[in-house]
Amino acid sequence: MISRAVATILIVFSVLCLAACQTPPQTRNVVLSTKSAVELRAMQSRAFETTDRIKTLRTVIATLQDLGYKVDKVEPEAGTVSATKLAVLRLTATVYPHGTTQLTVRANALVKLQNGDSQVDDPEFYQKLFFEPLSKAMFLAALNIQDDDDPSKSSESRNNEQNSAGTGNQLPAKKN
Amino acid sequence: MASRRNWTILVIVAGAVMLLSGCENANQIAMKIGVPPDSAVKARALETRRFDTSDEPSMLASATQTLQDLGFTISESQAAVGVLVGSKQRDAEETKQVVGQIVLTVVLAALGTQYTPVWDKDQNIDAMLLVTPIENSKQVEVRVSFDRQVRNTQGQIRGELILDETIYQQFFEKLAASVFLEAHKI
Repeated sequence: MISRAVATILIVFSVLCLAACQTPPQTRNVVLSTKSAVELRAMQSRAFETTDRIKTLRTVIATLQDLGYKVDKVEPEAGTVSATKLAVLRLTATVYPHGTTQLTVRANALVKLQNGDSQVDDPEFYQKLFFEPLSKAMFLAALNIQDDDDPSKSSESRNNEQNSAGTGNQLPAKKN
Repeated sequence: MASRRNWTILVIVAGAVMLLSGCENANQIAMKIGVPPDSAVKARALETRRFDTSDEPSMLASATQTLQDLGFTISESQAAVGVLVGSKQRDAEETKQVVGQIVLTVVLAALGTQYTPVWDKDQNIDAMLLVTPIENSKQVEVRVSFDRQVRNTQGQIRGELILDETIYQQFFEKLAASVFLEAHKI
């Protein structure tokens, strides 16, 4: 009976000793949203009428750059991009097929705080500060695609581009 | 007696709630930081150039070399989407700021107030470059943006976009020269 008690004490003691050796967790704690998954998916995703994944990913990256983000990681095959703005706001966007004629863009944002990261779950943030600028950029890209079908229009737009290149402070590289 | 104790608890809880609401939550910070820069249009003009080439990979290769010439370490490069990212660490101490802070400390000490001088110590400069082919033309658009995170002597970090025209001008001059040289090599 006594030996059993001693054994228990020894086990408890050794566990305590081991626990002391344990290093504190290295990962930062992340505070996830308390909103439901359905609600989050609704605010974080939008569908676009295109099937060109790479081009959409490029537009997403260009939009992020326009908004002042710096890309941390891109994976074209997976269609993902992670970017950070001013070392505080981190956003990950994924482009994936939605049916056979559409693509879905989903974005997820985190704010890096001193005591950990916190997920952004304000629909207004996703709508106004990501999807609205992205939609404009996607619309412009879509207009460019249409140019392919109309040769007269495309040559006109090319001329316009050359004109603007001449008047702006652009620096055309010499090509031999 | 009991009701008085309840009152005390209520006041403490209310105080804590008020203190907490004083802090900004993640959504408020995101809404503040996420807004496009005021100078978005100006920045776009500053950061973008077009080049008369449709050879996107060689444009990226030249851009990589230009960034390396400027002391950047490349952290991400994906030719499939025309992305190039690099960073460099630099000293951020400025004599004027350091002298100002030390003078302030001495003056405040003479007046009997303790003050810890704070000045910018070092900075991390990020460069992000994007090459985009322009539809229906034999041109590519190159957009580069620089930003920096400055750390002060107290270890606090503040981030800002770099919108100095000369920096972009110099970068594109170097890049154009690099493209020119490479065109010759072939």
